[in-house]
Amino acid sequence: MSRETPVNIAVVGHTNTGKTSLLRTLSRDSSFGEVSDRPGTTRDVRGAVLNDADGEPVVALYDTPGLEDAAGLSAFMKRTIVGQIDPVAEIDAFVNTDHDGGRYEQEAKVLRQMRRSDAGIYVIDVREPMLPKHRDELRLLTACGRPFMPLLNFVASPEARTQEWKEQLARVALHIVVEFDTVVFDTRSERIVFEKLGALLEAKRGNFRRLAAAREKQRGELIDAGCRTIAELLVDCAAARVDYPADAPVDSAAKRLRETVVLAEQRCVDSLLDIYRFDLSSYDPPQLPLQHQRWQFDPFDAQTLRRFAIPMASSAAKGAAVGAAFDALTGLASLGAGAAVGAAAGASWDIVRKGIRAWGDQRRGRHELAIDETTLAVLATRQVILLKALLRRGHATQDPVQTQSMRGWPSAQVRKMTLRARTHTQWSRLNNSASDPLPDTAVKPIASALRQVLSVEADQNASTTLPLA
Amino acid sequence: MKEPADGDALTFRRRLLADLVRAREESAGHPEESPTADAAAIASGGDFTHRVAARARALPDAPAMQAVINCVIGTGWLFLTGIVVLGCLLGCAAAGSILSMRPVNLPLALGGLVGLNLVFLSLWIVFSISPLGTLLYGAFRWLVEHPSSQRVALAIPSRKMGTPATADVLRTLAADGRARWLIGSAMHTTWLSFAIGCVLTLWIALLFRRYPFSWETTLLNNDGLAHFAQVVSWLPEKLGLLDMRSLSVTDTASEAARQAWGWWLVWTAIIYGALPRALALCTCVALFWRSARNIGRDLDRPGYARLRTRLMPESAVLMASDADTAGVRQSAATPVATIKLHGSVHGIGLDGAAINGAPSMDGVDWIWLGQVDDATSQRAVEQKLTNKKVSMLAIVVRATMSPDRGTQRIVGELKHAASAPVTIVLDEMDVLNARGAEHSRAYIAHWQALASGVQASGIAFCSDPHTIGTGGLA
Repeated sequence: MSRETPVNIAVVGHTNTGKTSLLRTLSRDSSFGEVSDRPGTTRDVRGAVLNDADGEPVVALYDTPGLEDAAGLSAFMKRTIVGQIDPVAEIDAFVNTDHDGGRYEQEAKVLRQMRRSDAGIYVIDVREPMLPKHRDELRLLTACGRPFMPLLNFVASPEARTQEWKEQLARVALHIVVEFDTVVFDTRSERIVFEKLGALLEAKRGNFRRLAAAREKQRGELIDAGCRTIAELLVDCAAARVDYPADAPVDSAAKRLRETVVLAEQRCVDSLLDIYRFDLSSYDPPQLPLQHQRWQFDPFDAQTLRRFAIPMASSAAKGAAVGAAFDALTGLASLGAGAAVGAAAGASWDIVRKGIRAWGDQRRGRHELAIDETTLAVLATRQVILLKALLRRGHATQDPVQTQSMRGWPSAQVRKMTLRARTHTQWSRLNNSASDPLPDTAVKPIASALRQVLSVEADQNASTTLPLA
Repeated sequence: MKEPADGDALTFRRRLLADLVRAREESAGHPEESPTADAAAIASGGDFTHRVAARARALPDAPAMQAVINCVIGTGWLFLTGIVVLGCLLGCAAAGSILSMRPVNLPLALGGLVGLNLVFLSLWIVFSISPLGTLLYGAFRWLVEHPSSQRVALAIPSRKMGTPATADVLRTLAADGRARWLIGSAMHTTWLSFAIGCVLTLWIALLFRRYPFSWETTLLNNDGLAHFAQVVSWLPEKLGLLDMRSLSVTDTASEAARQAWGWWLVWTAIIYGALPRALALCTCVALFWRSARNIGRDLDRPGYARLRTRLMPESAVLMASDADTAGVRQSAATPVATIKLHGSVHGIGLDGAAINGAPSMDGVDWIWLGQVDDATSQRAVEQKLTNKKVSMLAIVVRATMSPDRGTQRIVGELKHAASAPVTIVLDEMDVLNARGAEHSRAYIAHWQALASGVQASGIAFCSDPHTIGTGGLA
């Protein structure tokens, strides 16, 4: 593929409209520039290149200082810039002056960057009404001779005057408008931004398509990674066991179990935040309501039966296979007795093996403590809610991640696959620091079920996302 | 996409190294901080898999890790070579032992050369899905994780974030069910070598010496033996290697019969001895490689996912252009007081504030001059101001408005036209406060700075600031 030059887009607008926040969100970099409520925070022109799936730069965005006095600048230009053939020449002439002794230096930087760029994005805070000063700004930007697209920011705010802005922009012949909230991130809206920029710059449409495709691919990969991270936590915790002497109080063991699980959850949270490039201090999980239960060898206990039943069935099948081989070797003279005996032997072997270990534990006076289903449900749901919050969080957000509480499991399939791990204590890395890596057979079904939960919710939310401008 | 250099091919050893680094970093809870390695990975180009591998190679202790991997794999090849040689020798010995009989009893020869081989192959097929297979794997794990084996393996100590020990390499190779295919491959290689040793010895011996053959046994009669020979010969006959029409278990003495039975022995040893083992070996190797393909490529694992944004950044910051040379232009603002307006006050609404007229404020008798939101309206209001005697000019602004230079310029010009003290009055404080207390405090501070910049008398509020939680005001 031939390397295309990146498209240069100037991000312009009145001061404090969220230009730097827009770049943080689009570049997925919460450290870009400086965001503050103080007007005139951005004083330099700073750029960020957005890369495609291969890491090649396709779009360069330039954050500019805010336009603070377009009316004053217009008056100044009217007085001093005369005899130019057209508005573009007037802008070029102004940019090459001393900008009224530096008074309009900020505005000069904006206009200079517009002239250097292929197009512009004019960021609007829709919580503010459209005023004559905004029209002055639009006139100046139009005079730069570059196409630009208004981007309506803060559209998720209850104060938003979105429709009013659209009508006013239409009156000045600006019909390609896009809605985007830098705080409440919406992947669909971001795609629309790129599509509309492609419509604005037909010749560079390929760049925006590549960028949109890259974003979609990366998002899918991040979701898969997030689901896998959560699945590993659930397997580790579901299969975790702490054993303690039968004559000792359970509190010490419970404390050990809690500490282990809390640490595991924190590592999962750190992983998720790191994967999504958020600061590790962005979220602090609330205290885990840990409940535990004692594992008992009670042949009538449902959990014990479950713990035995699945491997027992498997062992019976394997025993039958061995017996069937014997039948085959004898030319079926054994009349299938081999298979029958093998099945019984396989099942018995399993019961004997596990029973001996459990009885052995009891004889040694040891009990096992495990996390109960309610706590596992809380763990699963909290991580899913966190993941969803991260998917909707823009990198311009400075507030900590907020998650609400939820009851129950994310889905029946997540529950089923997680509880399956309880019968496989060898899977948990919390039980043995030198244990094997988590097997894919344990992790992937849970990750897949979590992916399904997120896909279902994405489909349900599709109708409630921001409408097309 | 920048293609990786030829020397950066994604070999198995490199992927193994990348996976060991991943496992180590997942165990530690975070990726290793190595900007040099990250930069080398990005510079190497290629897709994410290549960059992860390049990063692993660029880490400071990569040579030591690679040495461990090479040692393990080298030892594995050495072991394999050893069992091939041993197997061949055993096969030669078995064939030689069989041929030392006079005459060579064919059922016994077949049993000795391929019988045991087939029995163990059948057992392996069954055991590979049975608990005994798990036991074998457990023994294998014990062997590699036993402290004594680690001491023997390497002098390099194993640390949590340090160079992996042999056990870590073996654990990675054996994970995800690969252990059974590795063990199976070793077993089948041994038996295949045995079978090849048998066949080669048989063939060479039969080529250069004359051997008598016999089908006679003490307990079995000719019919049973003939049936057995027919069953065994079915597959070679179907493959066109033998013609059983010319063979009879009762005729082993004639020259033609001796040659035919000789070839029969060789072909059955190949088809029932070497071929099944070769197939089993290919199956194990194929299944191992299919599983091993994921080593270093399972990119949704957290350890890799956390590297994605470093090695395949979605964006990169450019150097600042048009840098600010003057620095932050914040004048040393003298604090402005919060004042309470009263009496006769001339008022102006700026940029959409108080669009319905003078706001209601206790004790204030407004002389409302109208709105200023563009040059024309500003000139009109300034005209009114110059024609009036103004004791106090209140400029009402929306608190949520950005107190920018343009606003400051207009306020300054209006103040000049009025030739009177100016107060900035903040309206719609409820809207500002709804955006958060911190945001509200910040904006009020900025308005105070603007007021200070135009040497205003102070700022005032349309509503009581204390009831709207402005807190911390001067």
